[in-house]
Amino acid sequence: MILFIVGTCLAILLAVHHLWVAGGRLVFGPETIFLVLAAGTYVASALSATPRSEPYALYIGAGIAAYLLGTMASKVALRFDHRRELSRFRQASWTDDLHGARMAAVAALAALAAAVTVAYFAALGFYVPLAALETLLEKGPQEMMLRYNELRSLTSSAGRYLGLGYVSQFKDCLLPLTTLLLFFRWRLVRNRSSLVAFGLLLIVSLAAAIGTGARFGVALIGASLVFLGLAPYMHPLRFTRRQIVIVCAAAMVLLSALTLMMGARGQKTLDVPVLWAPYQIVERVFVLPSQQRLLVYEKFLADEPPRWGRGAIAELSQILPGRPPELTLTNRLHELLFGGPHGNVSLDPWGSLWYDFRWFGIPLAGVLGFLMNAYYVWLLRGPKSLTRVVTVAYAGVLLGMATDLHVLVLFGFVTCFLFLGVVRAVEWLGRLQRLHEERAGRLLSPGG
Amino acid sequence: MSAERPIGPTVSPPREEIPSLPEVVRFLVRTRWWILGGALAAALGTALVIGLLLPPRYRSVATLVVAPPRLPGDLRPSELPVQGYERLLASDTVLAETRRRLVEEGVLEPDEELGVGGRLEVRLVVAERTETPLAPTLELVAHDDDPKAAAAIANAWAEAFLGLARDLAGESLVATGELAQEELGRATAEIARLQAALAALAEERGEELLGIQAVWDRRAARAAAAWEERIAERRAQTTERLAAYAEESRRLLEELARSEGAAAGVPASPLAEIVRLRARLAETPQVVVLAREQGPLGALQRAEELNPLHAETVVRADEAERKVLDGLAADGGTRAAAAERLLRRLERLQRERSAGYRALQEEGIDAIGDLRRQAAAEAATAERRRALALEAAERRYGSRQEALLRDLRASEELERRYVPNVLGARLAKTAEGFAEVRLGSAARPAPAPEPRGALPKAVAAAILGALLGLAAAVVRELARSPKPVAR
Repeated sequence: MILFIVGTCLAILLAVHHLWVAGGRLVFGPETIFLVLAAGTYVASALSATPRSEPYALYIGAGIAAYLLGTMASKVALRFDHRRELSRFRQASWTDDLHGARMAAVAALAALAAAVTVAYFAALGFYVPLAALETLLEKGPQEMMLRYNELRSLTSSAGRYLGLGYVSQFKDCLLPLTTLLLFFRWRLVRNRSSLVAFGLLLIVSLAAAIGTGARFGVALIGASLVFLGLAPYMHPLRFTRRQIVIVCAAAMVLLSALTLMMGARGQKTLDVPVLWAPYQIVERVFVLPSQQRLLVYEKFLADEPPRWGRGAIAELSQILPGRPPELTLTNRLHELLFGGPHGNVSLDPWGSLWYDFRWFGIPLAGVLGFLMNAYYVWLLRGPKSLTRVVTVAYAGVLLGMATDLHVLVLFGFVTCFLFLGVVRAVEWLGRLQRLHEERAGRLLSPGG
Repeated sequence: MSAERPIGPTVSPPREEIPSLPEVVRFLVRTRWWILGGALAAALGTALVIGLLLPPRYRSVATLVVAPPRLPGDLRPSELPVQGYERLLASDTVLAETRRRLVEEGVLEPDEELGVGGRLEVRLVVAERTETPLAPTLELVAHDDDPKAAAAIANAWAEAFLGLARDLAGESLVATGELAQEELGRATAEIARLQAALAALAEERGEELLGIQAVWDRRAARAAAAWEERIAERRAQTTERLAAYAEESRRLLEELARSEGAAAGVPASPLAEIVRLRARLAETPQVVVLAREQGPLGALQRAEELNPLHAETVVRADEAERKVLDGLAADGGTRAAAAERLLRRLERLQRERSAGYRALQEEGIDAIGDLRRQAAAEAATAERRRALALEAAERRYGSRQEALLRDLRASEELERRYVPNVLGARLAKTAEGFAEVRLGSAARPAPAPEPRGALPKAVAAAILGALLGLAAAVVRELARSPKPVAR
């Protein structure tokens, strides 16, 4: 009952947020994505909570409320008028980055990402879809599904020696991001060379996506959300409703296919109606993780003392090179739920907040809401260049979908800004040269 | 690039603030000596350090293949993920056993260090040319200044690991084998029970199907008899009506002859003969309707033929009338005309009665035909019901049989799985080779020292050096005054 009352209050707060903070628009900024995921998590948790895990569901509800209040505070503090900002955004010209040093840097980094991806698969020695197809032809669909999952796990195991974490920054972050940028560029200049560049990169991206499986789901959702979030406000691009629907449908079909290939957790057959795939996606995103985390709360989190931030730092430190392999928290949670430590069950943002700060995590959720909205404001108010806006929007989607700091870095949030930094650095070198040439010109001119 | 054509009203040519690629390239070309110098210096430095300061090291590799066990079964020792084997390889137990063996062999000094990450290294690769395609393979790599020592270390490490894995697997198998023995007994008993149940079900099914057939046969026979009875009744009724109608025709003809025969002057005897013949004609159809039944209670097939009796009677009636008329004509014309009128009236009356008789006869035939059609329809409905009843019974038994077969298959599968476990448990006490992981190839002394990665390290150093050179060039550029040059 208390969960229902909290849910009703949250619904009212969400409505206020939607009408006042978001200006009545569905915008795919980080705070909205985070909010959608959080609201889904709350509903799924409230429906699955037991008397023992009910406090955790309440914690999520309170955290969401604090988050919403944080976004509202951010709107007031930053004097953010959604309608006015979007209007300015719509009037911007997106043609600055279409030529010159910036786009050359983007193209070079796209080529680098493609080369790293190809080299990774060459070093891996096998390509998962081809091996799965071979099994399908020889032994049938059931064996194919098992083989697919086995090879997927092998890629991550073998990847330990191939630097999968680092490769992933190219394969799963830079490649989709640069593909997205080249797509926008093709839409703006509309010539054959830009189409060829985008097409080639798209093929490599898709091949890489189905090559190892899982992470691409995130990249695909990210790219689609950036497209949906930006397309209506980038005037010269003029996307039609039909094009947007096609992109969404393609994303849905690919995600459904990947979901079917991987199979639901605990499911050992392919006897699943294809139309269930979207439901399975919802189940994977909301229902199963929520049930898992309620169990994690009951068995582990409820009795753990707060770590005061050391938990997040320990997880984050796992990405540093040269560390000896050790069981992380995610491994231990996997052992807790499934009986073996060789797998990962990560905490969601609420679990991370509880693990590190207990009830003090609720005000921190408010701070998080403030920062998320500030990030979105910064995205809209900052320089209106194609490279910056698309990259920051892409990083914003990763930010909205990340469950903790460790995952955020793994997904490529930092890489996005490194990418932007490299692009800026290249441009800066050009400016230095221009300064030099201007000086030389003055020296040589008659008045100099 | 000149062919590019931005669209939309707000698209404008690139602004001048954004530097072009050629400008960047010119900067890089202008500072090339800084960049190349940095790269070259770093690469050379790295190569010199590696070449001159690092001693040669030898590398030997023993290979362990993680493969499905030769005797598969669900109760076999739980399969460790490959990372599990990696952890086992790096465990203190395996390393202590390895050290003990190597110290005994004199390869290692008692105080010499041996650890993963130092002289030992585990690599996970995917073997493509083993009997199990793409089977995960563990490479146990040992490094040492002496090639023979490196091979001995790798082999001792592999043996220590396999010994431990074998012990674990054997213990697990013996423990699980006892459980498997019990489960096998249960599965076998269940199979026997299910097979008996299947046989009983087949018998029960046969009996029920025969029973359904018999019930419906009885119903069909009863229905057919009832219909035959109704048809016979209708036929008798028709015959009776026709007889009454013929009798009435005779009576009408006789009345007409009696009332007007004397006035017409027709002699009584020939007139009676003519009336008799007309009465016969009234009940004798001109054509005979032949109705053939198609099977019991089947529809009637109708055919018509000229009736020879009718033709003969017509001839005889004509002859009798002619004799009467000829006799009267000899006596005088007036009586002949009156007789002629009487005879024609008799003929008309006979024709009317013939038509009535024919209609009555047709009505009877139609009624019987209707009855036969109704009987056939009822028989068809009954046949459909019989088929449905049989199908329902078949389906009911089919689902029960399917459930039993499913249980039987599951039990057989269990039995099939338990047998290897029981065998495995028995063999584990005496035999070897049950570990999921086995030795792929032993290590051999390397003929040449391992490459020290001078080239990749030099390339990496060159990239870093180039970046440092670029940074130095940028600093130098910035160190110049950015203000306009003094006049």
